[in-house]
Amino acid sequence: MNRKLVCILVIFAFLLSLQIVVGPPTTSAGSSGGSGGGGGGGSKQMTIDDFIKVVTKAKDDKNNKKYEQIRDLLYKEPTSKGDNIRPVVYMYFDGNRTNITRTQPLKIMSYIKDTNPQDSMRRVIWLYLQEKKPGERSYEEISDYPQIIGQSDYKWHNDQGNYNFTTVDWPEITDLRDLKTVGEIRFMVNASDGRDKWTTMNDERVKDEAPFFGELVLNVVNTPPTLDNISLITQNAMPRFREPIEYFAHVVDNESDPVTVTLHIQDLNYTEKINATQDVKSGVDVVFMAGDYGFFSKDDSGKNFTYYYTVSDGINTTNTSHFMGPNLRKSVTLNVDDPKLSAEKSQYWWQDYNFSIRMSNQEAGTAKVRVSLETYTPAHQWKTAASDDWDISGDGTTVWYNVKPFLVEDANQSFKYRFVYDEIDQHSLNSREGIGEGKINEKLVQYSLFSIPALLNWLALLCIAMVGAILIERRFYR
Amino acid sequence: MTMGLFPLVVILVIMAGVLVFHYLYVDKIYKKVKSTSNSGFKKEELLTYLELPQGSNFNTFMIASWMLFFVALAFLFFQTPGTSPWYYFQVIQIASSEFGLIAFGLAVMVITALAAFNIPKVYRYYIVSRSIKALMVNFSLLLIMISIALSIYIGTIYPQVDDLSWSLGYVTLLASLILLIMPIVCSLKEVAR
Repeated sequence: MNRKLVCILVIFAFLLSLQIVVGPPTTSAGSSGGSGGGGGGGSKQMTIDDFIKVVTKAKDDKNNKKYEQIRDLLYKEPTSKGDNIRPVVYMYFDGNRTNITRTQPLKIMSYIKDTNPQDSMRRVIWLYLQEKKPGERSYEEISDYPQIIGQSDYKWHNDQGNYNFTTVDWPEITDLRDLKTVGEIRFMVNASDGRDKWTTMNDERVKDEAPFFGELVLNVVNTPPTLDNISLITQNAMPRFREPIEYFAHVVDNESDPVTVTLHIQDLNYTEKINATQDVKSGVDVVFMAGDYGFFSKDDSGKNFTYYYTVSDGINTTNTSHFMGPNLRKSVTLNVDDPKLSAEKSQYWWQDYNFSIRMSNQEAGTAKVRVSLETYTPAHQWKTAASDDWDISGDGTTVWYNVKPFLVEDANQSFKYRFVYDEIDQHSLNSREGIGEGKINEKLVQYSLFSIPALLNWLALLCIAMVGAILIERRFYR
Repeated sequence: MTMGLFPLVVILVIMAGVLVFHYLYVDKIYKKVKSTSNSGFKKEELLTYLELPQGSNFNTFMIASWMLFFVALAFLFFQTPGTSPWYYFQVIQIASSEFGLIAFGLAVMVITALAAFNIPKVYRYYIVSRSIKALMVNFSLLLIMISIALSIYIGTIYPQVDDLSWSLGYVTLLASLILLIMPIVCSLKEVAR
């Protein structure tokens, strides 16, 4: 408030002096007393109101340095009995200055010490925080607004009472997460009291003694991103090239930076076959599906591979160790005939049904093929009834399953079935379907009246009732 | 198939009629005794004095018979659809298993336990002749077990139906019920007098 008042008084005094020099605003244009009328037009006279408007506009314009020039020009020393002693400004940081992570909360302050014996001898000072990032050559001002210390802003004094001091926080710096490089970051303060300008770094009175510094130097480090739970997920230990192969990892970055994860797939000699990259956030799972990226083709079947990841947060890039996999099973092409079904005529749901299909390997040798039998009824749609690995030779192999594929809910329903194999056949398909003859018998209970289960049911009820009756009679009827 | 609500209602009406008759019988005796005596006593006291021991074997057979009577009734009317929206074969997993009927029978026994344990107590208030006792012991349980066997047969052929088996099952069940209520029916004359 005092500072503003002083400024206004000074400006007013200056304008008053201008008024005296240039005369009243009603004076006509031209300094020659009107003798040059009509000769090219004289310069327009600026009124006091115009000047105030210009100064006010300049003050509001943050980037306009003219205002500060006018302010410094118009500054008038406060009336005091002694000479003004310039205050000492320190950088103040009470903490460990090394190994600071970018997400670590920081509190950077300035400490201002004034030894003037009277408040009236002090000057208003303006403080601007300067920053020099790692690798940069010059300081850059980062204060949105200056911190202004007025005459009465000194909150404390030392025990002897021979100086007053105060501190200011710099809200511009709360952490260093936006830093794109790591290393030494430096801070200092530019100070101005309207007459002199100086920095905390070049003030000879400032001696570095923690927590007071002329130039505050912080050593910033970065925690490189890592990958957890790295795994290769496949349905089989030796998947075929077209089967789902999922590269899974969990991304961890302590600074929550965006992370670039690159998967490198190599052969056993560590020659890179292919790579793929995903940009992800820290804390998420990153998944590379082999099928989506086309990592493998039929030419790769029967080969073994390794993989590793490269992880980068834009500052540090790290490689994971190498992992084995996948070991791709050799793929073949099959010749498949129509499937067959033999069952008893009654076709009860509890009976065995014999399903078979003839397959042969189009290529030389024997191929191990997983063949599954699935059955379909409206109650149980494509339920796996059996599955096994079969050696399919070039001469042909009959794959068969004698199973009970149906449940009681399937009774009185029509059905179909299919063989599903993990190699492709002559039609580039991996299944062959057949339709069952008629419906499954409607009978629900497996046994007849003259059977052991029926007799046991009948006798068990009689026995339970008799035993129960004996117990009740003894307990309640005597 | 003759299954339906009516045959069940017939059985239930007979049972209800017998129950009503029993209460009338006891009430009539109470009034008669009270009219010939000046001393005031309660009906409960009279019932205690009226109790006649029927023998352990007879009681045991009657309790077992009534337990199995309710099982046979449930097997006949609630095993397959026809009587109620709820029936045993809706629980298809249990119904199709080898020992599902035991589970069904046990469930019925638990639900009707109170009735099956208490109804035979009624016989205490009636004079049951030796011949009637022999008839009841020898044939009521047998008829009930025949009815249950026929119901099991109906279950094994489900969803096919056999009207003859069901009718036979019903007749045997009805016959067993008549045997079971015979001591009370025989006392009709006493009440009518």
